[in-house]
Amino acid sequence: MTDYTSHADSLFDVGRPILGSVALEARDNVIATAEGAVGAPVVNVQALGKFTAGDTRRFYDGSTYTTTSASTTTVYSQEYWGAGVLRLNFEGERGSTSANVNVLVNGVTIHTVSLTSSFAAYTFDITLALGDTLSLTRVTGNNGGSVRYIELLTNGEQLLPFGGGLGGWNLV
Amino acid sequence: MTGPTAIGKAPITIVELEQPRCINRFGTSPCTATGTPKCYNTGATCADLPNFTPTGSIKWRFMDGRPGAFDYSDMSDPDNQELPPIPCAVSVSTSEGQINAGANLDGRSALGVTSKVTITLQDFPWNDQWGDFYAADRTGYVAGRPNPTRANFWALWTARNALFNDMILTVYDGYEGQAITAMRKRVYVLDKVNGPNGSGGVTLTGLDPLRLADEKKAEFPRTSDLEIYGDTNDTTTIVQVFGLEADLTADFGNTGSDRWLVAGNELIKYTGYTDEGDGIYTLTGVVRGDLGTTKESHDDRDKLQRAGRYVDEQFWRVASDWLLSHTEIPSAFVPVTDWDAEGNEYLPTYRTTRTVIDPTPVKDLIAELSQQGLFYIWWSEYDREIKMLAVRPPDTEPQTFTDAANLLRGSVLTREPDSRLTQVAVYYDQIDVFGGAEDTANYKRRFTSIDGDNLGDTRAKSIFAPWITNRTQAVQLAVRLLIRYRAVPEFLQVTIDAKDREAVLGTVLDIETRTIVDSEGNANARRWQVISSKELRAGHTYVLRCQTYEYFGRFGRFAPEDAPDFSAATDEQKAVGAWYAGDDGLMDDGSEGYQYQ
Repeated sequence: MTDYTSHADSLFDVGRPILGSVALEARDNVIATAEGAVGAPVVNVQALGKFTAGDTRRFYDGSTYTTTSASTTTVYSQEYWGAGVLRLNFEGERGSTSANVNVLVNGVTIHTVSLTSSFAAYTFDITLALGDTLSLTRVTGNNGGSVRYIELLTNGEQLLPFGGGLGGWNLV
Repeated sequence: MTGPTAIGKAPITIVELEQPRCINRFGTSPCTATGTPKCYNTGATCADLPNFTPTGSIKWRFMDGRPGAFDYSDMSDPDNQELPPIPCAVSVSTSEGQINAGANLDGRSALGVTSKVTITLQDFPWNDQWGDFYAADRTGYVAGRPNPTRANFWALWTARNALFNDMILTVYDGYEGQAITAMRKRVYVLDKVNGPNGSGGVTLTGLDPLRLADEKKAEFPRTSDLEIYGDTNDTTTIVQVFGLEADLTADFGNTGSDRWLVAGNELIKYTGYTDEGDGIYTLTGVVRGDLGTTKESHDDRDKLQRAGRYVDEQFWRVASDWLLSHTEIPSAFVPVTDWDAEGNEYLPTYRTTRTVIDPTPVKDLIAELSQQGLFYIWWSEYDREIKMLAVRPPDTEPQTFTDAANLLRGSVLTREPDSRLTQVAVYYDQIDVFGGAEDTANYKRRFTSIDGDNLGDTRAKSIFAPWITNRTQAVQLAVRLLIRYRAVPEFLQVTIDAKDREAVLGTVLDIETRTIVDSEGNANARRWQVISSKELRAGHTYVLRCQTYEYFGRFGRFAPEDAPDFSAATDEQKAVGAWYAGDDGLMDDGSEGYQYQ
């Protein structure tokens, strides 16, 4: 394991020598922090799951979720360890009667889409906080409807899904 | 004619022996001495040792027998008398000290070579005309007449001073007409007084105070007078010991009340003890098999040794603790404040943790600690203190010495190809304190630095570094050693006049001499460090032996946030800041880039 060396602010005061040893330690400190070395700062979970909306696919479900009757069904639900803005793509169509898709964060609807009679693509940038649950609910009339190709994208950052909820944990 | 730059200067050498003396007066409270003869306020003549208080002093001064009156005395304080110099054919000879910065010079201690002064003088009849508080009470005293001569001075002095503890030899190098306070001083610790011999010659030997860290004079931890009391199994925390209480309480390191005993191959930690009487003590706060060692059974009277231990301590502070607390070096010779300033500036993050289980000469410990901690110490006889410097670039522009202005004839360049290195491996993070210090298997980690540009044969050096637990320190040690010794180390001996005598041991100089030229025959100014210095002709000429100094170039310091771009910076700003160089290592104006220190 790499050693972590504490650096006082005064090491970087104006006029102080720029030391090779301190530069080397600064480099090693990053590695030591990543390795969880003794004395190194503990990495906060917020730092682990930062994401921004982009074009890098991080989740894709190629299934088509279809019903031919009236129902309210959650077709996707996931909690995330992290925070930021996530891009949500999906396609949907209704049967002969009306059908909607609701986008929910922590059970609260933030977008409602009225589906059309043939498959159309929908995109939303969703803001999530640490531990938020993103859900997609299909709400159909008597003749049902379909949702497919659910996709989550970031600007290259990784998504860290987890289950079980925050419960009594305070991760903030 | 006074001063080293004066034409026709007449050098003068005065030797001073400072001897501690008791400030009490014979038979006067608190002194309870009675009878005759009365004392000479020295330990050897004291008749009331419990009240012996040697906080006063007398400074005996000696010089050659030149004509003239030289009144350098100050008798105003009877308890601290400074006597006028006694003419007695003094001559002074010194063996110079030597720095071994980086600790790689073959055949030399990592600590360098300590210096010595030998003073010969002629004995002379002595009648105690100075320095005797009770002259009027002595046999043969007649008021109004000179004191009777009792014997020769050194015969009397050695009879009155059995031990030479805390005696200081000072050599004043000056010029006739100079006040003694303006003369240059060299200070040594008195080691021996030999003679007088058949022809009346006496020799005083003074040592560089670092000799007080030698193997016969100082150990860390000191040898303990402690034994296990009663058979003790390997699990019990009821541990009794027999021996000297002082050996249980002494501090060996920076761990406060946490102390350790070495018992076989086990380290037993304790934090206190209960006195059971008759030299028997029951330890408290006992932890068996501490610091990763294995618990063992011990028999009655098995030997115990206190271990020394430092935890997360700065390297140079460990060294200063040894000098101040575990040698007899006077504390005035160790300028801790200066050491701290140097260490905090250039070695701010260098810390060490180690347990020392065997009594080891302090000199040996300092040698390995200074090598591994990238600093070096030496006795600066003119500044009268033990200097400490990090292995680093000079912080001021060195003075330039040239053939025309400074160097007398006779510069000699030598090389030590055997000291060249192409590979340095540092073994660090020792596994078992009871394992071999030079066993590669006893170290968890190793860093190897290799000179990739080497065109010659391979010359590898392995350093076993039990004081290092941190990779950065291992890297710095290996790389700096390799930088300094990847080229064949060169040594330049030059002779200088007294006007340049400020160049002393440790000084860094830029030297331009016809002895050193480039491939086209042009003078090639190079940077050197004075690693030894010797007076060739008292007060006139000095010989400096210098070693190539690798720190040549431009070294960076943090600049303020509002510093201008390099191209707009003033020369002064460029001298105290730093800017990134281009990929070619050069600045925009083609000058050399900045380097890490």
